[in-house]
Amino acid sequence: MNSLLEQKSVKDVACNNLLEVNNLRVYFRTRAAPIRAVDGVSFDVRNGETMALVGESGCGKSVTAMALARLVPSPGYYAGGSILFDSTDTMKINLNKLQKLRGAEISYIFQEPSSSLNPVFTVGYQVEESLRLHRRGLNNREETIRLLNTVGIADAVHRVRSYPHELSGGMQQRVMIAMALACRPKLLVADEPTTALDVTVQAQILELLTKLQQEFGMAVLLITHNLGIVADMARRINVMYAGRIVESGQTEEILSCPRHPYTRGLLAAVPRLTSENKRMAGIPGTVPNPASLPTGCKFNPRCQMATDLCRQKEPSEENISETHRVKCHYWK
Amino acid sequence: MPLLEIKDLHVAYALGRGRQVQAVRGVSLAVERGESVGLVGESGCGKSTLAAAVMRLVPAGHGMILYDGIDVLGLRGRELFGFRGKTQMVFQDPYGSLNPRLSVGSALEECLVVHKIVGRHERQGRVAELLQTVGLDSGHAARYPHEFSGGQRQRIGIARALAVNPEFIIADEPVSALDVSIQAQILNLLKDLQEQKLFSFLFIAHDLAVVRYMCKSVYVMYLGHIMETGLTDDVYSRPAHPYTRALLEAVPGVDRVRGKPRVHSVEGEIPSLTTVFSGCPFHSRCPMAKSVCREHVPEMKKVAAGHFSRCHFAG
Repeated sequence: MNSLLEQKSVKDVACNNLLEVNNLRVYFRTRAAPIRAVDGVSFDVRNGETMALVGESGCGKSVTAMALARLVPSPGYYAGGSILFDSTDTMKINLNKLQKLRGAEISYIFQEPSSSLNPVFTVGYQVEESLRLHRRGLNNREETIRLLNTVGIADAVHRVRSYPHELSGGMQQRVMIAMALACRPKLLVADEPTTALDVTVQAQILELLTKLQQEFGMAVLLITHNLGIVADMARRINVMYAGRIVESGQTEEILSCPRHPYTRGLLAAVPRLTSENKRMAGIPGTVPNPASLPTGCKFNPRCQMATDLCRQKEPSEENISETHRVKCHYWK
Repeated sequence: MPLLEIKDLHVAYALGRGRQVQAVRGVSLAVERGESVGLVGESGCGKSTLAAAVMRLVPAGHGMILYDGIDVLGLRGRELFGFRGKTQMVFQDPYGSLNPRLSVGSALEECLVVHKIVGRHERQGRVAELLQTVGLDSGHAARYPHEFSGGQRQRIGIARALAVNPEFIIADEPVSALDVSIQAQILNLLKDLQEQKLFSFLFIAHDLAVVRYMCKSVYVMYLGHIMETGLTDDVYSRPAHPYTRALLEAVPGVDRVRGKPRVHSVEGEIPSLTTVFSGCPFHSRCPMAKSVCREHVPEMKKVAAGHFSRCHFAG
């Protein structure tokens, strides 16, 4: 009985967490020492939720995203850790199974829709491609038109014959979303999905993503540097810096009482519509080069609170509340 | 008298076979001495073309640009050269706007030589001083652009603009290519410099929050037209044009309530500038459009002191 109960609870956890990343390490081979782009990242994404990975360029957030479906190109390699997707370890399955996973269970949309679409094929052909690969036996053209309608492309019957250059940036991103949704994935990884778009179009795309997420019941891993988008979309946030997650928690916790000095700096550096011309604080210095990271806490050269302890010893993760975790010696 | 005054400016690009893109369609704008003015709009609204026309980098159609009372469009030869010594530009892409084969020191010296700012012996000292002004080390002069990060390169771009001691600077999306933490540093630098050196500023951006931080007054541009203008505080707290309301609401904010629906959001995207339309430029996306909007171009209407809106229903 006891073991049965235990089994059930284990299963419950597995159902609850669609994706579990444990201590993931992705390094890049160089002539000198390997570059540790992602160094011990752990997080989970639950079924149907939106989880955000926030950080500035070069912090390793995109490499983490690519690693989920084992898409990191050489000279990158996996140096350790595990990725459990729907209770399967994606690190251990063979290429055949991996191909079935990619695009069907985990889909991606990227920042630059114009460079993700193939310029020499019609958008209809490209949306159909994933249907051909993963969902045989459908009337593909009809399904494609239905998908394009779902993502808000007017006149989809004619638009299937358009080439990417005939569409605006916002429309191209809608096509990318249609491609990503074609196989009803369980997880959509959106890597800076609106960075290249204008604000009004950005608002439309974000609204579309929220709507589709509710309709399809998929989980979204939202990767962005824009804390505003995160506040709008995500239930939980992971803040990344120099290949590590430095703070994680519920969106409200992170935005209203950030504990890590980097998170606080990021929040202070966002210009706001409501503020009077108060001076923004900002963060001094620049994002460190991943090839030559400082010792101790990786944020210490830019941190105003840094002490000798920070320069010598990397802080370990500590729990502030059940949901809120931080890696800082002085979070109290 | 304002330092820069633009009156009913039109700029068009030829597309061949007699077709044209009307990028700027009758813009009037004024920048007072020592003031910072923001120009906001989405991509393709004509804001960069307007800047280029003021700088005489693209030819203007008809209209008038007065700088300190002098007709800029009529300047030729030495006079134009003199004008360029007083006005400078900071560009969006610090990667594309620095010559990769010139060391930072030579790039800065070039401005000093061309505009005869200081004598030969003082040049290096002046370069070192400029680098320090923008928060770089004077030893950086010997390095090349690729040795710097994006934020540092933007600092170099600013140093180059400052080299000639300009009275007026146009900054065209100076921070949109930078990370958030670096963006704040550059904005603070520009703000401090503007306050200390008392140059005037036309600040072009698509990010409304950045403009709020930087500028006293603001112009909102759409499809080559100015749609609304006024003091930043007034326009942001009481937007009088449906486009401004939509823009303000579309900004994803840390202060927004998650999942709160947007009331003023607009459908569709900015039409291409090649399209021919009648009536209000915004009518195709406007949630309040009536038949009058499709037929008549609205005039700029006064909604409060110093606050104008190009909408039939304003005020």
